[in-house]
Amino acid sequence: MDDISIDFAAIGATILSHAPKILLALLVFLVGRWLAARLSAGVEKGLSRAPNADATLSRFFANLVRYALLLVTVIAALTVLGIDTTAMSGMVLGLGVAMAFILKDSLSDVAAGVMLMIFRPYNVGDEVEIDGAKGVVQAIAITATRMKTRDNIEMIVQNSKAWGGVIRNHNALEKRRLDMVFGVSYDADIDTAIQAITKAAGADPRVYADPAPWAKVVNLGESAVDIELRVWSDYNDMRNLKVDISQPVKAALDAAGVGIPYPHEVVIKQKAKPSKLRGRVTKLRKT
Amino acid sequence: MENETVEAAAAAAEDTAKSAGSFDWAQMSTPDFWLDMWTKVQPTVLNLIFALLILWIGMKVAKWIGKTVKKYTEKAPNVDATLANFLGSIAKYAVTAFVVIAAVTQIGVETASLVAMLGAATLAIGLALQGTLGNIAAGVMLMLFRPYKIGDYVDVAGQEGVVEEVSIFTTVLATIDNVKVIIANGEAWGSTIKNYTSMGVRRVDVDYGIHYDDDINKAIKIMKDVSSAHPDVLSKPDGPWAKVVKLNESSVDIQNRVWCKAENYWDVMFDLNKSIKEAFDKDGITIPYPHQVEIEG
Repeated sequence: MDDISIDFAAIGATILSHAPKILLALLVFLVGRWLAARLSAGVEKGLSRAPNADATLSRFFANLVRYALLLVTVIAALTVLGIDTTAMSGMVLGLGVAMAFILKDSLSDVAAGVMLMIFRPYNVGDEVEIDGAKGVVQAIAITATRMKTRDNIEMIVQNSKAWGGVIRNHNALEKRRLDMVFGVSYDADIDTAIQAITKAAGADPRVYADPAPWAKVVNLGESAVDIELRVWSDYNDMRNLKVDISQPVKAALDAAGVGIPYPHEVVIKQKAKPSKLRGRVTKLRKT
Repeated sequence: MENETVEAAAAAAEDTAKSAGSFDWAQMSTPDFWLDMWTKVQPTVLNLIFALLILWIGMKVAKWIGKTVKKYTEKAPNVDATLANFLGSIAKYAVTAFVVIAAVTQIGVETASLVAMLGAATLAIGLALQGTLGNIAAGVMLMLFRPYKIGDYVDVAGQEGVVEEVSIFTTVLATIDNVKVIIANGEAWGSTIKNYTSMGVRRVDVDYGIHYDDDINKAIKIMKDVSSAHPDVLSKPDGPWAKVVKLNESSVDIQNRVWCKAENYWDVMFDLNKSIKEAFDKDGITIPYPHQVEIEG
């Protein structure tokens, strides 16, 4: 009986002598928890402020921050109680490094997203080619760029692909050149053909008069003399022009009497004579 | 006497009780006890007050820095408001993190784990910016070694065009049909760069196929004469050159080589195509269609 009463007193004494520590630890924990909640809310708010932020993603990062801070808080509170937490700090460092490596790609997408927003190599509505995918930009979000092809396929390209690679922006420069090749007959007069082609192209009001339509012989092909036509226009007109120009050019070449040839082949008929089989054939083309 | 012995015994008992760690509840009523207690907790309380002060001032500073960052980024051209907000809050929370660590250290809490976490966070940011920093390094290289300059026609990372801009992060080209190509400097510096302009003069090589029955020497003479007549064809480093490079399926292929200034390359090629074809027509040299021998029997 006597022993027990002394024990009670001892416990009381221990508690009281440790009371400041315990209270401080509790305070550290409570303040830490409050800070964790505040900071994670702040992170979520900050991320949702980012242009085209993704709610899921900002929630994810906010939770990540919150639980990391809670872990730190618990460790801090334990330290205040006098428990050795060196090992725990090591664990936190390890976990943190692991997380950094796990999130490396997503984080570099975020970094690239910020760069894209600062330097704006493309804007919403631009027709671009990123990493081989071509489409009209719908949105530049914090980790990815959303595009739509002309035939309505949605494409999501990670921002690091765009910022770290090659971006082809088809309408950043207002003026565009359209190149088309027309093959004309070897027997036709080249100047007549060139004039017919440039005149037909120049007749379209969407084609710029300056720089004027241009046409030259780019290749002497197998069956045709290849004349390339180059015209300048606005980007938006160019896409329509591409499909509107062949018909008038064909009409103009017909009117000028310039033929657009089929593939040609000179066929030499020979009797099977083994000794003659390897002989060279005579000139037959013009006959 | 007996009373004294009892008292002494009681005192002795109290001593033993004290040394055994028992607590005298009665002493709580003496001011000395509280004074003693105060001297014990005083540093903690002061530190707590200091910590709160650090936190309070620090938060103000963080807020101010966030606002300043936002204000200055908004001033920069082509930065929109949402982005400025975003960068502002990033700055604010980065400063807040330092403030919290400072405050917590002031209380005397072990911050090793917090510092470890901050270290990990910095590592994460470093990894995230790895690509961008690589681009900056490549940009510095491009500016130091200048493999191309503005106005050059180049082939960089598989993209051809005229160099419009070399910045610290990117190289911007305009293709001949005016597509804007933005290439990360890391890609540009890390791949083969072909510069079509920097050497000043270029050689135009084009193969012309003539008929097997035609006079090769006559054809070569026509090609050389036509080439020399072109105003943009140079006589240095070499005058026009033409030789049979291949006995092809349906034609004898003669290659024409002429030198010209880099900027005239395409015009010279296209002009010669036309003039040589016309000269061949005039002098009876034929450019053959594909031939095929059909053997009967």
